[in-house]
Amino acid sequence: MQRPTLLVLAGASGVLSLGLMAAGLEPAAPLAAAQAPAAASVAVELLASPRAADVVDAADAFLATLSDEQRAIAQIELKPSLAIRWTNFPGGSERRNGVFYRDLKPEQVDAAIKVAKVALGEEGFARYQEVRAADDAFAKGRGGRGPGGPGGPAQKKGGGPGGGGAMFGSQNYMIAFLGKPSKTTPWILQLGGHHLAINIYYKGTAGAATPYHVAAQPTVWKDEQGNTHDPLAPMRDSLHGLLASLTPEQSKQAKLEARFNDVYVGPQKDGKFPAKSEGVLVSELSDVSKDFVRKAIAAWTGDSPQGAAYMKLYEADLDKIRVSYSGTTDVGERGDYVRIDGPRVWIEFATQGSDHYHTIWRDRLTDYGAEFSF
Amino acid sequence: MRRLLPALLLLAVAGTAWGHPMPNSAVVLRIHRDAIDAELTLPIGELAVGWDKPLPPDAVAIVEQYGEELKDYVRAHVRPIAPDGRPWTVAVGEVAPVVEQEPDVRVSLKMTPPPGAPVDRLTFGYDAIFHRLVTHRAVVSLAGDWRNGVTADEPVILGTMRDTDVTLVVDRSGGGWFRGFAAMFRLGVRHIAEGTDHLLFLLALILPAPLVAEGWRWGGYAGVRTALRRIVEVVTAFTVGHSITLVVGALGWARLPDALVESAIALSIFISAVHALVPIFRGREVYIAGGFGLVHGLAFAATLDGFGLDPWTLALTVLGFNLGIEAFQILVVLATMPWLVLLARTRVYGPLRTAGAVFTGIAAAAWFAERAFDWPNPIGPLVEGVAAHGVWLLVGLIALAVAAGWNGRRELVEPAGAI
Repeated sequence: MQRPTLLVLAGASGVLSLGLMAAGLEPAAPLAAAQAPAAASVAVELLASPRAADVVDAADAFLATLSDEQRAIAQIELKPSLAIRWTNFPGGSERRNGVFYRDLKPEQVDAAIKVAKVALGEEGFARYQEVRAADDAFAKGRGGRGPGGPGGPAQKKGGGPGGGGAMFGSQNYMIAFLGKPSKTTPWILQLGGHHLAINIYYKGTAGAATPYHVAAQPTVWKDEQGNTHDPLAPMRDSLHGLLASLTPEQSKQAKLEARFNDVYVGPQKDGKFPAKSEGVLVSELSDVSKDFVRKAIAAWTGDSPQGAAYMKLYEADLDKIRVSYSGTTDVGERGDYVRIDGPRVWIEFATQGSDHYHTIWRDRLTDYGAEFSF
Repeated sequence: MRRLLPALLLLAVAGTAWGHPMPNSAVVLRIHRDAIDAELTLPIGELAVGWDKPLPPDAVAIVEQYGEELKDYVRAHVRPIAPDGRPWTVAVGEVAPVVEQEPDVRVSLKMTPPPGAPVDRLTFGYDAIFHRLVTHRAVVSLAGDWRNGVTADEPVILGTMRDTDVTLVVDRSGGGWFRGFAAMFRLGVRHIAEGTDHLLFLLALILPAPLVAEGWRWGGYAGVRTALRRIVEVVTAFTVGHSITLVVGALGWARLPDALVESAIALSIFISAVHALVPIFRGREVYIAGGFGLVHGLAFAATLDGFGLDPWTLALTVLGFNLGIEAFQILVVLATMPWLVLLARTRVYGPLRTAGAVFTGIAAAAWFAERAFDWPNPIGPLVEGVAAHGVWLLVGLIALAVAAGWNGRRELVEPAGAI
């Protein structure tokens, strides 16, 4: 259903139920049920997106460097079936939208990177570059970028334009625009590649930063200059600190029976949050633990120029947030898993091995700017 | 089946690549007349977490140490239910190790509906591993549903199950014997159409058919009638041969290892190629073709593996499959033979026959190396690639026949035998 239609419906049913209540009548059950989701979408207010106009300019500048053919791949329709096409897997256009850097000229890549830089802000852009660097390190560690063994699945499946063999490394990242970049009408910027899926929604001067999937393998490595990289350290360390700060009783409450080898509400699981919130309530935790919760949330929200605004929202919810984990409290062994689950905030950190993390941040109310319902 | 499962798992994980050790479980169902066979392939790393057992990363050791316990675990997590709500009976059979890239264990089940309930309609309840490891998935597929024409060659994905989807409604009613028969016919056609080795074998056999043997050399043209008679004889003998072993194999009376059969086929092609070069069994082609047919039939039988058919269905299967094979064989013979017979009267035929024989011989040798000694080489795939353009090869053959016929009108090789 179109958004204006929804608004009108919600408004109408709202007025109707008010009238019924004023008349001392109970609204009929089906009406109440129909009203619920629509009302929710009315209530959601998008956060201000301070850089929205600059991102549109950078996006236009990038699109202007493309050929017609490239532009047709880079700028596509804004619709749910395309918005959900993102993943943590390596690979190409068979599971992602957009144009890949490997298929662009250096100056075109520069223009794309500039979009990322403006859209993500300092902290987010640093993370973006580090995740790509991790993938370069991974490709190198594998002794090349090829998919390796004969008959590997990616050989058959792989390959968008110009693709095929290459899977890993910073060139195999993409940029896509769902809808036309605009300072008035809604559109989504997607930046992604192996271990990365950034979905930023814009509508005029407002926007949304989720779903935000960031992961890494290797998690820690040294580059040729001898510098150590640890792109997801703020996430891991704050969660580790949090779990270590819990009392045994709190830890028991926080421990989940279920086990995880990946994030639970991952790609193509939009809106599929567990029916019940589990874990220990943050209101029951010590100030030290609460600070770790804040720090952990900020590690994800800080990757967006809207981070401070998100943080303010989540801070207001803080006592209603639940924290849970599975596996060990080390946050480093295969199967270790931590979740922050609030009325709005949803964060998961899953360890697939000591050298391999998957994470996701979602906002329950404004994933994809609440443009779609799941 | 051996070839199917890795392919299925690839399908199942849809490109889940290296660096992401999270394979799915595979549940492969086969619907028979009064029961369903299920084969579960459980990745060990995932099983250890879901089952909460400290399993060693060694499939063989797990089967030895935990085999019996695993049967109980699986039994507790497989719940087929009849449409009227009654539970099916689940018998856990073999637990076998799978040693591939990532070790798995494979568990075979037999699920039987309660009396009076249909075998092709049920609610399949399943939650092994993901009842606890909630990020795990099981891809359920159908690799045998005779009455709907589903075979292991082209399995059908029924659905993906996970912690929030622990039941899957399976409704395969509405099939029938004709649909199954037609599917078997198509399977037979495809088996030959895609079986480059069988095609080359057939062509190598008919290549020298229009010629007269002169000692250890192929001589002149033997005449249309002789050529036709020989081709019909050879093809018929081959058909009789492979029909016999197809039936024997499908009945499960005789079974040879796949590698042995496949190697023997490669060898038979090689021998036929040599014969096309120099006559080594002239006059005994019928017996040789029949003998080689016996070998090729064993390979056909492997395709029909795992149906577990009752006699009536088996008869329809073998008949349909064989008719499919025959239909395509005849098509190939009809499409090529006239041109070969035409060319056999010209000087072009010598070089053409030599080239064909050498090409076939090299391909056969490469296949043999690959199959018998597990020595992969680029020639096999190359030949497959060429064969994929078979229609153009035929066009080339026709063009050659027309051109040679035109040019060589006045210098026809005189028939050496009686016409």
